[in-house]
Amino acid sequence: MASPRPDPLRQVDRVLAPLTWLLTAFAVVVLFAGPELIGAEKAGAPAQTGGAAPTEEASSGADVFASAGCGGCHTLAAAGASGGVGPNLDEVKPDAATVASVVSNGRGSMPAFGDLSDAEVDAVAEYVASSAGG
Amino acid sequence: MSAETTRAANGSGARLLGAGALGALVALSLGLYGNVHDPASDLSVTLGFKDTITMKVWLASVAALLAVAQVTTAAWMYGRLPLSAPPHWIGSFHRISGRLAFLLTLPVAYHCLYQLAFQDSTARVLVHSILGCAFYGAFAAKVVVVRAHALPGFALPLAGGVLFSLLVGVWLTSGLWFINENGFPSP
Repeated sequence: MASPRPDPLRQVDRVLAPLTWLLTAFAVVVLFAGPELIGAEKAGAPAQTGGAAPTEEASSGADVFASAGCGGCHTLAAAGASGGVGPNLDEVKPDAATVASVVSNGRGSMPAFGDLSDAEVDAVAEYVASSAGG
Repeated sequence: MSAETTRAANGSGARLLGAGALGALVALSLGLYGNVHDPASDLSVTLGFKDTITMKVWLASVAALLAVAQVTTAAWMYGRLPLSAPPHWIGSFHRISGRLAFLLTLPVAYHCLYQLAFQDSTARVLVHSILGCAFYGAFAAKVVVVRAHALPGFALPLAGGVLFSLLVGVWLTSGLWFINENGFPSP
């Protein structure tokens, strides 16, 4: 009697099946434990790059920068942000008016952040401009 | 209808409901996590790509292609394609391509959930957030449907079709949108 044809894909699947569940469980754990579990550095409080004390507006701008998720897409050393989706703000050094315009109206693939108040837009614009040196 | 048939029908209905409930629970849990989690600004996942968005576009696009392979091989196995009988390895290929598609979505979803969280800044972003959560719920439901016995014949194609549609929807509202706006990024 002929033996059944070997199916190498079946062997691959036998390995891949538990691996899938392990990686899924790992992803869930990292979701709650934070990215430092996979070697990514987690930023603490926004770093101060200059010697001057932060103004109240800049401090509020830092909060807006963090809560609006700006660092998810942009790099800004002062905020400990290393996003690589949009322009690196430390390199672009935008002025406050430019930041306010882009945040309010969007540009390219960046959406407008219409849920931010005018005060929040101004605060984050000042914060980015002063932190990046624009 | 005999009592035994009635019991079997009730049992398969309960399993279907259970699969749907599990899927809803997973989707809602992810949505809740994304809603209460503060978007982080401390994560850069590239997996060898030049930046995070490039990684996400590539992984999501390959996952979408594998999803097309999923539907094609499923249709072939169900005899819905005008082709000869499927080769003996088609089942394994179907499972492997499905697992790979799912695995490729994990880094993308992780970055979305941890770094960006659930967002509603535009209609596209809102739809993407909802579909993303629903995709993992549908995946959980499909795993239950695949492993459950004595379910109605429509259950597995329906679960697979919903899963495929959600993945394509997630890709349309992110990967394809990005490619339309910026072109396909080189790795």
